[in-house]
Amino acid sequence: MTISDQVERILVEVLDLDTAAMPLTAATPLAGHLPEFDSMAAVAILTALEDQFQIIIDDDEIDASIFENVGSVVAFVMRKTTT
Amino acid sequence: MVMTPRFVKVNGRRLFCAHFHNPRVPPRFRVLIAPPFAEELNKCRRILTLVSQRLAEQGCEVLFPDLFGTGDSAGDFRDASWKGWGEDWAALDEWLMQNSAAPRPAYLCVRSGALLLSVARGLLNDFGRARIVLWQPVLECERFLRAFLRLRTVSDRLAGRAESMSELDARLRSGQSVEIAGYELSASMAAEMTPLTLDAAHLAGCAEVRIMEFRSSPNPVMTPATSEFVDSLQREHIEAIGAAIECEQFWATRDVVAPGAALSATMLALA
Repeated sequence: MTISDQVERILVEVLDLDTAAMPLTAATPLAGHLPEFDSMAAVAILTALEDQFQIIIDDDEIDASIFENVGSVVAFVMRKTTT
Repeated sequence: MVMTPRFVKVNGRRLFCAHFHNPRVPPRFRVLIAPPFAEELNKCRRILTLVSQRLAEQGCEVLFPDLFGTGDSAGDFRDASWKGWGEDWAALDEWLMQNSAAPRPAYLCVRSGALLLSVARGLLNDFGRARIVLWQPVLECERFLRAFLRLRTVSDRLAGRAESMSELDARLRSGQSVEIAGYELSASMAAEMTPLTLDAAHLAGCAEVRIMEFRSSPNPVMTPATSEFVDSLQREHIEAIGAAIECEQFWATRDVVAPGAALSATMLALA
């Protein structure tokens, strides 16, 4: 599975998204667009990303732009896993 | 099936409990629920009510308490402690034993509710006959506490304000409380939670343990930490079964409609 597949799987799991009704693309918006996306969901996503990719995300690295859309989460994980 | 709302006074504290029973079926298990922490309890309240109803219909007596400082019980969250919760929960276990015809105890522990087994260790009087069902148990509270503190740092960051985990840690260490998602976490409670764990030694002597992990992806597998926990129970000669079940993560997700897989697995575990 590619990084983007793994990230999408985590987003679908945590946010309980119906991908049959709305397939995910990099441009699918997240924060501010989904009623499910609250701070509890954001923390659950960060924790799942840490577990899945064995990375540690420092709070200083977090800002709203990471959760803008699916592609921005994937880009964040790619930055984290290549540094 | 009958649900009787009642206040039970234990250790000088009035605790609200929903008491589910079925007058037509002699009960097999008396089930005491160990509720999850803070906002997770709100998200789980509906499924816990549903599972209590279903279990009562199939012949269990169920007590679903609000711990001190939560739900409709007396007290403020900031004055609660895990030590007090453990003592109260054990006292409710005793109350249920005195007031139920069911021959065996069972504990349905949700997320961090599993840690009450560790806190109340030695206070549960009929532990040798107990069947324990753990829903997505929190085994290490330090990591769980960090995720809870993150609710505040992350929502601040998403709103463009900067607050770091180390600032929150420093405030707690200096004895100040911290408000997180509407819950005032006292410095003493944070200090209690940091070293709290659930391991095989805490469950030694019970009859059976059923551990359920819930993942919403198809063909889920247990996380390595939970598999290792199941193995450690078996090494202690505890009859333990773990399973990963395809189901929404209802403690973290808003508006979960029907976590049917969690309900049916739990009814089977307490049949």
